[in-house]
Amino acid sequence: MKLSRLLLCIIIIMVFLCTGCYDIRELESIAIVTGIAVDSTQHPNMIKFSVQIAKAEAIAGKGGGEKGGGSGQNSPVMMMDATAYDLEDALHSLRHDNSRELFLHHNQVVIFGKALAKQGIGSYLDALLRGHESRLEVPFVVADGDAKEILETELELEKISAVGIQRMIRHKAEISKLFGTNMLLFAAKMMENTASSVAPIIKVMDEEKTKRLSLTGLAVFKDDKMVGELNEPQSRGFAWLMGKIKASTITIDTKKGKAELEIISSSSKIKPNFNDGQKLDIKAEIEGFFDITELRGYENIEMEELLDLLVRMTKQEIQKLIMSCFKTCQNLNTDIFSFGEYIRRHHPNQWEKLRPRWDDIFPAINLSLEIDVTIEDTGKISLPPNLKGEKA
Amino acid sequence: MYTFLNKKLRYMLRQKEDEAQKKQPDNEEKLITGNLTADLELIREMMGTSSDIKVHEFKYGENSSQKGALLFIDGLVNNDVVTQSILKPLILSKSLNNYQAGEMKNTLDIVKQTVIYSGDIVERHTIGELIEGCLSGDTVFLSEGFDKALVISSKGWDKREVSEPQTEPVVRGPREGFTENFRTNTALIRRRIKSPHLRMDHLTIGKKTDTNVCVVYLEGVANPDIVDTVKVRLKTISTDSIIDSGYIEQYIEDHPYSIFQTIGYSEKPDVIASRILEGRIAVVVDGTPFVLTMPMLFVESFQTAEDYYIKPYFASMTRLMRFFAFFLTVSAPAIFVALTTYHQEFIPTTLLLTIAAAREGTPFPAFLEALIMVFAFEILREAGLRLPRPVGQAISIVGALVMGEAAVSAGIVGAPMVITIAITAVAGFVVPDQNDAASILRLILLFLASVLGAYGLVLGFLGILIHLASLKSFGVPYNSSLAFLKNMQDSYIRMPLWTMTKRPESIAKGDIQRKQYNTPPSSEIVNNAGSMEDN
Repeated sequence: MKLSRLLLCIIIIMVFLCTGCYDIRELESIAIVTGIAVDSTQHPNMIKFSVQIAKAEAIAGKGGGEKGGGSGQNSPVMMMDATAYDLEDALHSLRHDNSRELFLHHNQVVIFGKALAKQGIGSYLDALLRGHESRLEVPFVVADGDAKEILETELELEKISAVGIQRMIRHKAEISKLFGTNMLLFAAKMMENTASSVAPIIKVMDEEKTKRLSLTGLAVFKDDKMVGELNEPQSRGFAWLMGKIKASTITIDTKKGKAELEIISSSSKIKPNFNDGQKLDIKAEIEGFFDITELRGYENIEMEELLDLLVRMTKQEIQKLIMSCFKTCQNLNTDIFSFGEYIRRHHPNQWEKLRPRWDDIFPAINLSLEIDVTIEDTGKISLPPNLKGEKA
Repeated sequence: MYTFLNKKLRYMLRQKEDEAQKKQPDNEEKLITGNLTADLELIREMMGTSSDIKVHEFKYGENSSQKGALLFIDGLVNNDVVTQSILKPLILSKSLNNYQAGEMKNTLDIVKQTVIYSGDIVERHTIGELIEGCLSGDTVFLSEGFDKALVISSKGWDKREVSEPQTEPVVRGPREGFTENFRTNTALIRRRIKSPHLRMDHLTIGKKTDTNVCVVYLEGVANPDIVDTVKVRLKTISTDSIIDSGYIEQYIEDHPYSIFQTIGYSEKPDVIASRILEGRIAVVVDGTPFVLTMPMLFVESFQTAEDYYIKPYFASMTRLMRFFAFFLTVSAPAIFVALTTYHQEFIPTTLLLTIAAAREGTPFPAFLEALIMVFAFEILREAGLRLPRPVGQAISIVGALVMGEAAVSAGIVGAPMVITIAITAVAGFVVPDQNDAASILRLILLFLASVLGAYGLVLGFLGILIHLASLKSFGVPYNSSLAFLKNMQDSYIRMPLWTMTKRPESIAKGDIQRKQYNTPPSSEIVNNAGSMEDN
């Protein structure tokens, strides 16, 4: 009786303890992956999978001063690549070739090469979404060229380029959330029936001495294949139409002078008009609030007149941005604006009729814009210093 | 199983004690015979020939016709009292001359009433009682022809002055502390609570040491059941020696196998007084400045005297910080080990890289590293504590340098681990009452975290929580006033004093109202006429 109680206690304790340690990983036994790049190869079915691994000792900078440029032996990061049929395969072969276990939890960015993106990335995304090690909120970009080259580019300020890329995307996303996408958002958009996803495009800019990375626009996907690009102004148009633009400026260039307006806030409303289910008209009401941050020129003009002019020009500018973006998307037949999804949610009955022919309807949508611009604040001064304010 | 073992053990112990008690010889019950020489002989036989026992035989009374003897222990008595208040009046007194020889049988009463200058004289009839009085510093007066003797209080040994205690220092608040002297200590309490309801019930414990113990409580405020429990438990202590109040604590605590202490202690009269006023019972033990209080709640470890002397905002902030510090000191190494060996994904990337860089090239696994550092710290702490003070400082400096700087630069341990242990160590001193328990819990959690990661940590915390919830101190749940029930004015935060209208209901019984109304101090101003301004 007493013995059995004691035994029971011991067994219970053992049950807790014997399960332990199975997933123990000492810090010095893992290789912290900071970036992943996936490229296509000559072989149509094979991919080149590259990982950027942070070398902790070099990063923490034990005597970092003597390392100078950071290239060569003492570079804070290390690149590894493997060529395989699929992603999981590549990961395995990398694991086997490595003295340390690959640790994907801290991956900062996933980059797909443009060529591979055009072939379709669905199957590779699957592996990244499925594995419990990789995070879903990892930013996801398309390289204009070779993805590995992007990861290899050294940044001036960041020791680990992947961290730098991730921060670049985050800054860009401050202008509009649409400029940064992560794997979860991308996959979610892909799963919407008719919508198309976008992902930022990253490009290596060759300057005289150094290489620099730049986010140049948005890659437009139809399903899991990249079909086209939106350049920088067009992506702004995209953000305007979705009412998701903020913390950005707009430049008004007229003969009389030049003005910089800062966007305080914006919003947009979409109103579809179903013409008996045959043709779709969409009216977008866009509202923007601005501050004036810079004025140049505009001599001999009154403030009210100037504001009128600026409002008019801003409307035109926004209209131009949006229409340019919209036309491109119509040509590509990619509904990155989720108009289809909007109609499905708000007008489910109409959607049933439209759905089978959406690919025909979307390119023929007639988009009309109603833009309302308010200039809220002229800053600390009203007129430029050279205007003397005669009539004020 | 735990309680079963407990009971079994206690039962066995009790049995053995009973057997031992039966064999105790019965020499002390002998009565005083009245034959001075024989009585003194008996006393000498029992007390041996210790050099500090003084027997002074002399003659007194009319024409120095009476034989008498004073018995005292040198060093325990005040020599002035013995010579000036006892011996001198006995020998010189004229009052004895006026009585006739026939009234001789009253001599001892006359001596007691008119001769000796003392406020504390008792008559004793057995040899045992005389020896007991003698050993506690009284002077025994034996006289030829009487079968009784007088025990005259003449205590006066060297004692430490009331001084600022080494533990529990305060920035603001009373600075006096208890001393090793029993009466000084009870007086210090009495001076703070000038209530006729303050009771000091006296006991002596320890067959050999005969230690004076005093149960102090406020009648009408303290729960009478708890008072009785304390007394009964004190009376059932059957040991031959009580050296410190720690002995008492271990003999009467509810959970002798728990690592948490369920009896509080303090060296400061103001702390003890305020606890008595909350309805707790204090036990003053002769020979130690540490006074016990019971029942003890877990939250007491996080309260300091100063909390009540300063404004409530800062007091509340520091109290919350103490809870956090306790959490840190118990779990910081465990959390660090769990995070760096199991859950690297929890750590922000840049921090992870820094930690990884520090771990690079260190020879031991993180768990072993933590264990080494925790032990090194315990060793240093102990060394600093035991060594003579001037050497102790040198040790702590060397220890700090060795642990902090050299170990890191030699690559034996990583710097983040040193930081973790340093925080653990310093945080431990914020809650000194639970420092012993924390040191053990720290190791248990560290072990659990190293084999099970965060799961082990949670398991450990749950275990601790369950254990804490199961503890009781003299019938009062250990965690009461930490669970969200009544009386929350003085637990996680300290509310203003004027909101504490009641004494803690789990402890006090009877007169639990401290004050009538929960109102802030009036901001009205008295004008010259002396009446309140209308507001």
